[in-house]
Amino acid sequence: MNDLRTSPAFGPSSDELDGMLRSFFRAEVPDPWPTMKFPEPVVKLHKPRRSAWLRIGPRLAIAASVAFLLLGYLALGSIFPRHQPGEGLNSGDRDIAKDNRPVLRRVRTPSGNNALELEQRNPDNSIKMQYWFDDR
Amino acid sequence: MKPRPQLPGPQHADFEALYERHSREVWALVYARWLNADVALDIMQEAFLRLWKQWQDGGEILNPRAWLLCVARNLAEDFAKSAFRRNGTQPPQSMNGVRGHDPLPLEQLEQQETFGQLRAELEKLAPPDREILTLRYGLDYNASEIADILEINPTAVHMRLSRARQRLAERLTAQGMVNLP
Repeated sequence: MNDLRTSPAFGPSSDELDGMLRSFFRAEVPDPWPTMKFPEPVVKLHKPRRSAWLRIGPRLAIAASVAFLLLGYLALGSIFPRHQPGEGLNSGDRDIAKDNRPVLRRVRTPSGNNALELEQRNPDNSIKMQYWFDDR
Repeated sequence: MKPRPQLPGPQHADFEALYERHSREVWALVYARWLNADVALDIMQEAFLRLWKQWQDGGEILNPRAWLLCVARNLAEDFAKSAFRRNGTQPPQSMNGVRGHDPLPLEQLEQQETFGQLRAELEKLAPPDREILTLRYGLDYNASEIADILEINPTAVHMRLSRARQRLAERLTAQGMVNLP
């Protein structure tokens, strides 16, 4: 073992200084040396496991709500069909058998004149047709 | 009440062995920084606590001693920024007189006065000087042990120690505390 105090590289020997330093530092070192205090192991508290239904219930509720909204939209769409553009007096594509409302059309006579045609279903299901010349 | 989970035995024993081997040098390095034995103890234990937690979390530390010394040095530096350090308590030398109610023997008073002066002069030294003096005189380590801790070669230990002693001796001589040849 290397004795630092008597080593030539250590410099001038001074018992007084060495003694003072040794007693000072020795007094500073804790005596007895403390033992290691291990921290209490951390016990993780496990939350009670929720049942599968409780875990997926909220998601199922959201999915059911979305499905309900979608089905409601489709059902209402089928009950109240959307208005078709072009449908009107001159469209000519109305199912007169299901509709009692009179239909007025602009037509052309065989001689080439403009005329108005009024088609009307009667209560006995007979169809009444009326024509007027259109001078406009 | 649930039984507490048992830690694996060998790890516990390994850690205790590590503490037994290195706790003093960790303490010495921190003590040399602040010249406060209690702060050094706190920081030393904090460093070991962090190592323990690291082990518990499964972290792999190849060189626990180097890890501890590094963490302790960092903690010692952080201590300078802490609220405790800023707000502080009384410096140790000013608390010397409140150790007990009974009157102290004259020798003890003289020694405490000397130690107070020595502490004041040590505080004026650079931290590396204090480190080497603490390891040498506090823990009685030899050159190779000091070299190992400070990661320098033994020749450098001799030189550093010689210079640290010389600087301290000059200060103490100026104070009339020691007479060097």
